Amino acid sequence: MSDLQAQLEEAGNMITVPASWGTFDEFHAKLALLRKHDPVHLVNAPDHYPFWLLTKNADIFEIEAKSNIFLNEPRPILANVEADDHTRNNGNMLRTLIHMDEPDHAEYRKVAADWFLPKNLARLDARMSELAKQSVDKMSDLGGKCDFSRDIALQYPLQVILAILGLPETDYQRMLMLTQEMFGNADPDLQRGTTIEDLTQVINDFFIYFSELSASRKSTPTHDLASTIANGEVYDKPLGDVEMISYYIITATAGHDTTSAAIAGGMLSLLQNPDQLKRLQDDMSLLPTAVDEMIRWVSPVTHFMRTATEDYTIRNTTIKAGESVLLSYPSGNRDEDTFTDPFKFDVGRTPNRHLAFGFGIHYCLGAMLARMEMRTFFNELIPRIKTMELAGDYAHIHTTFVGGLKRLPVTYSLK
Amino acid sequence: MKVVVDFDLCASTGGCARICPEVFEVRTDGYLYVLQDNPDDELRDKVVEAAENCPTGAITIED
Repeated sequence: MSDLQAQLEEAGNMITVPASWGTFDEFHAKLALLRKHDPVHLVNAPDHYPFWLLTKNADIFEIEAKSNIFLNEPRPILANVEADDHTRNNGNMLRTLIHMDEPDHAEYRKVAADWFLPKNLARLDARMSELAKQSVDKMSDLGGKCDFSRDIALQYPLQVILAILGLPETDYQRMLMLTQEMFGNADPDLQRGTTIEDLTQVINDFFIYFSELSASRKSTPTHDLASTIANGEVYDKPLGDVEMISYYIITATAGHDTTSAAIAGGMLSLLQNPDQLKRLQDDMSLLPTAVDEMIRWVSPVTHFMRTATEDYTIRNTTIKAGESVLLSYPSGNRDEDTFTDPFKFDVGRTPNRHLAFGFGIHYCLGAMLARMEMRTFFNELIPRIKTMELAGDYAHIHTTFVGGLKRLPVTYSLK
Repeated sequence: MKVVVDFDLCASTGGCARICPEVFEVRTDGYLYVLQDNPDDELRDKVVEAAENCPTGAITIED
């Protein structure tokens, strides 16, 4: 095997190793190597069933647009052989929108879709601004020094999504812990444990919590997303138990962890690029493009997978029916053929054809909410920054799925 | 072919503009603009693909 082949093999295998996300720059260097030399790369990694790793922006776009050929089921997210076998033998523990294909997907998506439309999100504006102001006030109260990731970025999006769901503030910390245990289950600092039983226990805890919630919202509906889900109907029938609980879990978890990651990672990028922070401070009209650049830069969701229902050829490589592809969003979002200077963090980037929210029918339901949350938060914070600097080592979580920072120590002086 | 966008549903995801830039454009103000309400039939396949891939189902085609 040549040196290059060995390097490509190592780069492909990296996708299956949770610690590699934590090496952020090295992770991206290896993805760049794959984009250049083997953009449709077969990964035969230890302890994993084989899959094709797709690293080009245009290819990810093409596959997502062919949702009639490339299905989410039965392998929507990367798992090891043991977990894939467990799912095959016992079914999925959850059945969320990302586990569904048409026609079910469209039918279930409709249940909550209205909540995430721009016209309805606009009604949240005042509450969101208040939460953003509270977050920045909290930074002031912490006295010029905090762990921005843990103290601020993890808290604010959770407050927003749980306010939409209609959960009491007393439940916030419990929800935060469960989410971190679920998505951080590959990180030694966040996990409850590493086995399927440990993850099952986390999901069971969610089930217990949300079963009580849905029972209460069925008997006494309130004007919140939790009531919409509890009383939701598909094909003119009430949601099944598994689908209902899954709906709560996907909303509560995907609704905050990803946005937290983008806020913390965006903040880090601004601190690492003080010229871009200054540019934004001098011209806050750049905020919308700055937020999308943060989302591109961080790409919190590291992948989804699709499985082919028929042979399909892409870049002269045939994906056979039954084979799976992994869509690497962090890679597609630094594709040299799509972006000018992809490794430059540019708060004014236009156009910005990132795929961080996916594309097509599975496009992130909460994308508008996420953008609005980030704009509202940075609109509050950025003008109040007198000085702000990194204050020690930051750390990315270990994951193969939703990535972010688990530690971001900063010092600052705010107005 | 007549292209109709329900702007109450449109979330400006920009997918349609990437598939069929001749007809759809998302501008820096964050809104979708329909550049041609009655595009030529040669664009039909692309407009149909854009409509099928719209995550909020905001695009319909009236013949």
